[in-house]
Amino acid sequence: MIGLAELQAQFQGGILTPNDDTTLALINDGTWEPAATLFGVYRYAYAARLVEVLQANFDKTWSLLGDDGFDDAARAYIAEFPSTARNARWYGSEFGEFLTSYCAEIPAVADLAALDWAIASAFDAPDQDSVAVEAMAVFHPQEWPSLRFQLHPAVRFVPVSTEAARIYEALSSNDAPGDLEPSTDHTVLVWRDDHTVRFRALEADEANLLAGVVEGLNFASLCERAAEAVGADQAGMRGAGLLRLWLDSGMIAAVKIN
Amino acid sequence: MDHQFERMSVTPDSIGNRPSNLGFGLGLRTQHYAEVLEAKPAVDWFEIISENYMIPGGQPLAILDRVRADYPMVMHGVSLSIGSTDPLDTDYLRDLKTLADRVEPRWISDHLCWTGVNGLNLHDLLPLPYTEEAVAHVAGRIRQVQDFLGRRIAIENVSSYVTFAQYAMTEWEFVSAIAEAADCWLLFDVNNIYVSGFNHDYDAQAFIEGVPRDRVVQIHLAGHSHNGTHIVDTHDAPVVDDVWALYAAACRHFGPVSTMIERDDNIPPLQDLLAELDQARSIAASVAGEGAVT
Repeated sequence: MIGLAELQAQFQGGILTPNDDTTLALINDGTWEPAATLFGVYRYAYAARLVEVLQANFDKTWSLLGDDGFDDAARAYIAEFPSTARNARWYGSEFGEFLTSYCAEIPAVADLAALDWAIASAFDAPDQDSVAVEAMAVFHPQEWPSLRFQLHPAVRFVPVSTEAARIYEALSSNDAPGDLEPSTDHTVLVWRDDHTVRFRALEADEANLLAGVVEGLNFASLCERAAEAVGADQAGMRGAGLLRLWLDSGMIAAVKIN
Repeated sequence: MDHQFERMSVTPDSIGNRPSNLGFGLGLRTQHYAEVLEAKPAVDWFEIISENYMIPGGQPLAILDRVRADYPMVMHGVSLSIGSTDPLDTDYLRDLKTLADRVEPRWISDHLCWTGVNGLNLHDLLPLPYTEEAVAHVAGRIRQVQDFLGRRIAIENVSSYVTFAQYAMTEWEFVSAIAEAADCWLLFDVNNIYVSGFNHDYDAQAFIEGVPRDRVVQIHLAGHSHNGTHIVDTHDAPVVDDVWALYAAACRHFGPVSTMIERDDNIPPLQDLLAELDQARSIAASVAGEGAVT
């Protein structure tokens, strides 16, 4: 007679390794079915349940690949990455990376999976109030160069090499995904406006400025960075315009001087 | 009087504060959010899946707060893995406690099972062997969890598809021994005893009569998938007549207990579940009209 820990290890091993039937020695034949058939209920349910979890977390990737294609990819992932997540909500964190090699011939698949994951994680990201445009009136003009900005915790940046945002929108409308070929490397911004998750492909200079915000650059430095793209005479206007856009979108959680 | 004696002296009376009967409830599901918030249906209480709200923020928690403002709630988990031989997951327990502080549930429940070992989670309700070793192991962990949460939890009997060669007692003896040793509540799933009773050819009525009635705080009712030679607990269909009959037997034995329909897949319109809930009300009322509890 083996102890509980060994019994559980063997039982789990039998589920994870379908061809390993040593587990069957632990269990009884049923009244109407042999042990192998009854144990098969657990084997079947294990993968089926995790496929459902991945379908929920990667809805548009599922749409793009179709039922059979997604099922194949999901089961390959499940075999390589058994869950260590206590909460199934967090299972699939490596799925996008996994698809870069599993679906290497269609890079849009991995891009879409990364976008799916970012959108899901923005949806239930921490709550925090956003700074309203009107609140910026408290700062004197001479303070503006020193202002630093903190992004809302739901903001995500997804680097892609295909038109992932356009493909996502097409699939959301039940349209054909269109061109899946690689395009220019760029970033898709994901954020949450109240409780609605939004996303858009970023121009290079806006992505560059948002990276500056993450780095902790002040407004003066952000405008200097903007000058690299639009020239010194337009830099202040571009910096202020983008800041206004971010504030209106609810992307700024805090503004501090220095 | 030393501390140890004080603890022992209060234990026998402690189950006297069993949570009150909440009436007839439903599981809160995303498909019904809008209707629940707008129409405020005639449901006495809602059960939430704890893990669905063990998240940092966003719309689910905002909706949870709004529903909670209108209805009593209980929390039902699927990931406690109380029977696992892995160490208890303190991060999980901390998140569970944080959610409980927010929801202020009437009670918290999870399943008498394990979900994985060696750091893995199979996200399934895996069966335990009905042995003295397992009783001691699980009861000790329930006590740890109860100490951490500062409250008793309720443990639910699960559906199972296999029995182990290691076998020292019946399932109801196993459930009862753990409940007594851990001093916890029981969530009695009527469908699960029907499913396991069929799969393992035992008498579900004996199960009902075999558990300590004073510890039962909640009843689950659900549908299943009958595959001829075995039944799978799928929660994707209406409650079947045989399970309603067992529910009547449970009402006779346990008396009035908080009862709910547990639907997790193939979610129907809310009105369909309200109709099932009315059937539960009708059966409970009919049994109450019969007279004495058996």
